[in-house]
Amino acid sequence: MLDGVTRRYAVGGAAALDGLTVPVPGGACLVLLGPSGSGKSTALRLVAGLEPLDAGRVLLDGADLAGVPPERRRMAMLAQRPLLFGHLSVLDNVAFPHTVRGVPRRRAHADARARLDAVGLPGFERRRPGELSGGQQQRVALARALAAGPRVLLLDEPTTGLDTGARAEVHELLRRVRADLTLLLVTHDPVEAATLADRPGDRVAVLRDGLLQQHAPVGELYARPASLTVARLLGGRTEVPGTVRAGRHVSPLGALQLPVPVPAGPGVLVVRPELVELVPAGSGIAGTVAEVRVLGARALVTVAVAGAGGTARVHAEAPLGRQPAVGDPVGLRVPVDVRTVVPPSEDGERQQLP
Amino acid sequence: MARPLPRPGTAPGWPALPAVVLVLAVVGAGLVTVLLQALGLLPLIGVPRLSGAAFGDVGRDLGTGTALSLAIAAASTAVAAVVGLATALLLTGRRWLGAAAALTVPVPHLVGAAAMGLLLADSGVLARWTGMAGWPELVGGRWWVAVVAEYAWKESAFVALLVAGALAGRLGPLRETAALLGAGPWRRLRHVTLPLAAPALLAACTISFVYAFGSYEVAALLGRASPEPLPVLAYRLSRSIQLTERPQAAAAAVVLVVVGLAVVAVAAVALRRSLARTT
Repeated sequence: MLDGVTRRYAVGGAAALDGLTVPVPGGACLVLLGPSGSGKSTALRLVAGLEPLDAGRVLLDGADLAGVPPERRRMAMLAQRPLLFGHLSVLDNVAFPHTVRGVPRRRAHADARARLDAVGLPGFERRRPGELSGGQQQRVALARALAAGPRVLLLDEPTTGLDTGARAEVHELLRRVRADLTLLLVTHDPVEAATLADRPGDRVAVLRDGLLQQHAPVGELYARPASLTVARLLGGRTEVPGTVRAGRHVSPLGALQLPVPVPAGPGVLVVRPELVELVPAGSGIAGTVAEVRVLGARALVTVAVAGAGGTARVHAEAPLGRQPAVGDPVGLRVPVDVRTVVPPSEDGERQQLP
Repeated sequence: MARPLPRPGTAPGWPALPAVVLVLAVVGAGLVTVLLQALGLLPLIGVPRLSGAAFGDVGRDLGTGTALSLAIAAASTAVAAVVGLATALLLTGRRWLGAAAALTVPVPHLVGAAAMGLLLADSGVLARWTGMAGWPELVGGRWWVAVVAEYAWKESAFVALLVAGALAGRLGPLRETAALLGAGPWRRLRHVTLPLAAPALLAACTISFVYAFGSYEVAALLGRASPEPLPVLAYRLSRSIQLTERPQAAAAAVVLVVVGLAVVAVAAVALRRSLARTT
C-alpha cells in the first residue's frame, strides 16, 4: 500500500511524486503507467527503499517500512538493464541472493540451477553475462530476482531494451512464474501493462507530473479514460471537442447519445480507433478519408467529418489491404457504449466523469 | 562508401608509431647504455671487457637495497590502496570531494617530502604541537615511516582518482541491485564493490609500487643513511668521484629496472585476468 507517498528532489521545488495513494493487494499486480518524468520510477525506488520519502508511508502487510533498509524489505527488482554482476558466472549471479545470506555453496548452486531451468536457460551456468544476448541476460536477472524469494517483485520497464521476440519471452515468463507474487510494474507501454495486469485484482495507476490521474483495471482505462492524458497515453487518437447537453455530446459529428449520464457543459469525446467501424458511404456518420497510415497489420484511417461548428477528425482502424483510399467518402459508426467524454483540460481528472 | 569501423583490438597500430619510436629511442638508448656499462662494455676509462664484476662488487648492497626498496614500495602501496579505495568509495557521487582529493596529485614528491619532514621530524610541527617527550624517530628512523607516509599520502589520491573513475556510473546501480537481493553493506562491499574496483585498484597499485620502488628523492630526503634503498644506492654511486664506481651504479640501475619490469609483467597478467572477470 502506498499512502500519500511524496518525493521532492529540490527543496521547495515541484514534487517528483505528490501524495500518491494506491492500494496494492497481496498477490496482485499494480502497474504504474506514465510518460517519462511522470514519477513512476521514483515511486518504485521509494517502495524499494532506495530513496527516502519526503512524506507518506509505504506499508507491507500493514507494517510501515520506514527505516527498513532495501536488503530487509524482501523485494527484488528487475530493471530495464539486467544489471548482472560481470565478475560472476551466470550460475553465481543467480546464486547471489543465497551467497549473501550465507547459504552453503552446494545448496545455493542447486537452487540456482533449478531457477535457470525455470527460465529456459539450462546449460548456461558457466557462461559470463557478457556472452549472453539481451533477452537471455534479462531472463538470468529474473531467475536471480526470484532466487531472492521476494514478497514483492518490482519491475522497472523490464522489457524496454529488448526486441519483440525477447519481450514476448520475458512477458510469458513473468506470467508463468508470477504465482502468488505481488508485482509492481513501472512502464510507459500500455500494451505491457495490459499483458501483465490481466488478473481480476490487478490495477493500473496512471501518473502524470507526479500526480495520480486514474486508478482502475486496465480494461476500464481503455474503455473509460478519466482525462485526455489517460486517453492519449493508452493510444487514444480521436478527440472531438463539443458540448454535453441532456445526455448527448454535440459536435460536428452530431448529437451523439452517451452511454452514461454526464454533467452538461464542454467536453471532449474520445473514442479508441479500433472501436470505430468504417462502413460504406451513405450509412453512419458521413465523412471523407483524409489520411491513411499503415501500422503493421492494420491501417489507421483518418476521416474528416464536416458538420455544424466545424470539422472533426475521427480515427478508425481497417485491416491492411482493405483500407479506403484518401479522398474516398466513407461512413463511420461509433457504438454508443464506446463513447467517452472527458473534460477539455489535459489533467481534468478532478472533474471525473462517471 | 563509408568504411566500417575496425573491431575493438584490431585497429591498426601505425598511428602510435611516432610515440613508440620516441619512447624506444629515449628509454631504449638509456637502458642499453646502462646495461653495457654494468657489463663492463662501456667503461669511462680502460678497455671494454665483458664482466659481471660490477654486480659482484656491490652484491651485498644490491641485495639489501632491493629488499629495502621492495619493503618501502609494498608498505606505501598497501597503505595507499586502503586509503585510496576508501576515498574512492566516498568520492562516488560527490564531485567537490573528488576535486579536494585531486589537490594532492599535482604536488611534486619533493615538495611532499619536505612537507612530511617538517611535519614528522623530532623537531617538526607535530612534535611541537603535541609536546610529546621522546618523539619517535619517524624521519631517518629504522622503519622508514616518513618515507612510507609520503608515498602513501601522495599515491592514495592517485589510487582514489583512478578507482573512482573506474567505478563512476557502474557501482551505484549494481550496489542497489545487490541490496535488493539481500546483501547488507558488508556483503555489498565484499561481493560487488571490491570485485568491480579490483582492475583499477590493481593498475593504480602497480604504478604506485613501481614509482615508489624506483624513485630516489623521497627516500634520500627522509630516509637514513644506511642501509640504502636501491635508487639511492644507484644515485650515490653514479655521483661518486671515483669513476670506477660507475659500472656499479649501472649495475644497481639494471637491478632496479629488471625488478620493476618483473613487477609490471606479473601485474599485467593479473590485470588481464581481473579485466576478463569483470567485463
